[in-house]
Amino acid sequence: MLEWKKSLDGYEVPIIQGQSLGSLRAHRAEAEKWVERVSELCSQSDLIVVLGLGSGTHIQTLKEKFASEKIIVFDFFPEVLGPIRAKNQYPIGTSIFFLNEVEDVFETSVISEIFAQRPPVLLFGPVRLVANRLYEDLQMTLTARNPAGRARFSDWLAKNSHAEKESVWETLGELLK
Amino acid sequence: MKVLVISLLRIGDLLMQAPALKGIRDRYPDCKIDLLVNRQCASIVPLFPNMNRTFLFDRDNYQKAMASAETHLYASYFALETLINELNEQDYDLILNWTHNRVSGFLMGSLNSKNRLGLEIKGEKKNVYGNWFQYLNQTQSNRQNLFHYSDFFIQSLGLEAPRLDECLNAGTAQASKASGLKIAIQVLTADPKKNWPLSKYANTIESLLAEFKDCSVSLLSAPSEKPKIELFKRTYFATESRVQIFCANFADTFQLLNQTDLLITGDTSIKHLASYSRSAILEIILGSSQMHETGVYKEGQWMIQNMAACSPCPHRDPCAQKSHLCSERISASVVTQLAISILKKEKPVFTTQETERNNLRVYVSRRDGQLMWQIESQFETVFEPNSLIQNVDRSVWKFILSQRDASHTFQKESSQLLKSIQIFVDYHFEQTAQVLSAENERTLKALKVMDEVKKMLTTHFPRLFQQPSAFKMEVLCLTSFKEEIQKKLRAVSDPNGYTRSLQLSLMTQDSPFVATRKIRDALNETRLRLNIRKDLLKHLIAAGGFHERKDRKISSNLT
Repeated sequence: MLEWKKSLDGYEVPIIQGQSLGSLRAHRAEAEKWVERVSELCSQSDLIVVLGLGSGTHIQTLKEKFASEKIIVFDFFPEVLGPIRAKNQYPIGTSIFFLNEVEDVFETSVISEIFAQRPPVLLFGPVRLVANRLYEDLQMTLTARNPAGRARFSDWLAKNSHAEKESVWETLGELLK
Repeated sequence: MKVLVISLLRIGDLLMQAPALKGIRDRYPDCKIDLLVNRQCASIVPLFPNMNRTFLFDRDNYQKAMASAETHLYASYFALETLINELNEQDYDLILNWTHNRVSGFLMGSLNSKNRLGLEIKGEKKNVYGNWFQYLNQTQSNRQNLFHYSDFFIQSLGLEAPRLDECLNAGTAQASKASGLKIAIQVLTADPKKNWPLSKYANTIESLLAEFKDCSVSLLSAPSEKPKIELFKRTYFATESRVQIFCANFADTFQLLNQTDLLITGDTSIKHLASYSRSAILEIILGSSQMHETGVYKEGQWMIQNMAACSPCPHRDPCAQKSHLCSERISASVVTQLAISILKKEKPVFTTQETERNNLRVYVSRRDGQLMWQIESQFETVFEPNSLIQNVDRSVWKFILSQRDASHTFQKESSQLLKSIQIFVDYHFEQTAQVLSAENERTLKALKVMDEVKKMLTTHFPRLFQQPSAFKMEVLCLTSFKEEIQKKLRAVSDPNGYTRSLQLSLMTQDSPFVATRKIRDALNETRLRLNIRKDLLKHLIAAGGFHERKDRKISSNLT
């Protein structure tokens, strides 16, 4: 069930299953803090993936800072989108995709681009609480950190005739010791 | 010719390699020299003259990206693969791995080159190319390396040691030195174990300001250290205009050091940077500093150390003592006294009471064309047999590793060696003679053991293979054979690693035939090494006139 509540600083915040998708006190400050945290990572890529549309504020803030970068948003709650547009919190200049389940991401038109560019995949904290690890699973899949993601990515590498070199992995393995 | 130097340690380590880089440039003026260094070292690279291209190894980012849930698992993989591909496109004639850790070994294994020196790892296979690097590989784990790292890299390529003041770019703004004494002090280090207490630094500065009215003190600081240095200045020298903070990059700091009379520090990077400048250096040796490998390379520089039983401590571990003993026992008054003497160009005089009570040592660095970097104790009352033996063994190992025709140059080498141990000869003739005699005896004893092992090998070898079909029997026989050799080797005291290759050959898990061949080769190598030691000692004892003393029995066993 979707509800909306106004934060103390004047933003409309969606509430799903009783969980608010963002701070009800300092909503904008929370978004700015999140953008600050992910800025270094975002500055290294032309493409940024965000998981969780939330109220749209954090994506708007991110877009303000990274105006020329392409931002792709994935979410599992399409019902949020209409009100966000109506409440003028829609993050203009971003592509938003709604999924029913994690595997659906491989059917989207942007998956090849994601495979090719391997962008940072950012999870907006407050959305974690509402989807029973769906966002986390999607993050692991898109970053090839779970078997499903790794298998799909390996297929893509094979299709693109890219042979992995054991010595590169061995060097990286040493760095983690 | 195109050369790649892999140097993936810290700034101080890279600075110690400056003489070897200059040596390559001097020997091969038209050669293209590229560097592969950690990104953190990028700021120091412009100081190295005539480097062609620098590739950065983004260690921190690779590590972060591997561990972070927000980055693609393959992000580091592709970044590193791109770097490797780019390096391979350069088509290097020679790759020098001057790092000697597993990361650089795997990297070396990924790179193509006609020639290579240093560690390479390919899968399970580890190769160490070059005698000197094999020595480093075998000595690193048990701290038996006798060479200063700067010497090591020069010697590994058979280069001439360059002039140190030409090893780094001095910069363009050569401002004339203002009047008055200039002192630079780096009070903080990256390793807390190497920090001397700030209160002691403050006392030292105060005393120096009192002694030299026209002197000024620059407190050196990296940008990240600035708040701490500002606090130090506010706490101790708030109103003292002669004490100023100098927070700058390495290039500017190098320029400052070129106009400085004395640097006092415990910090590795600044100390090595100053080695190529005009400044005199006083190093306070604390914590894990391995003086004989990483001491101030410039000749005639001063080092002070407390000989705490735990010193030097392991590099990665925190201080294991209740309090920081090696630091506590070096007083501000001793450092001040030493600094004043250096600035006045006088020989320092210490009270025996203080130095003995605190078990202090003061050393001066010496560089000798033949025998390379060494230290000379400044306390004539102190006789350090280990230091004497290390001088001898450094010389022997240089012969072994350079694979020179020893017989023709022993005489020259022994007279050089005699010069380097002159302080022992002058002040402790009797003890020096005794130590050399004992070393001579020890070498002869070790050679005798090797002869016994050789005899065992000759008699065991046919026994080992008398039943070629019974492989199990052969293995059992080899095992007991190895145990017998081990037993014999235990009788040989060998702190400087002459029998190391024989010891290692006993660990081999190869088939009996291959293992026996390896043991035989290692035995021959060990005998050769010990013979070189024996011959050099013989020449040294003769050159020093030790055998001419009636009360010495030193010549009795010379062969």
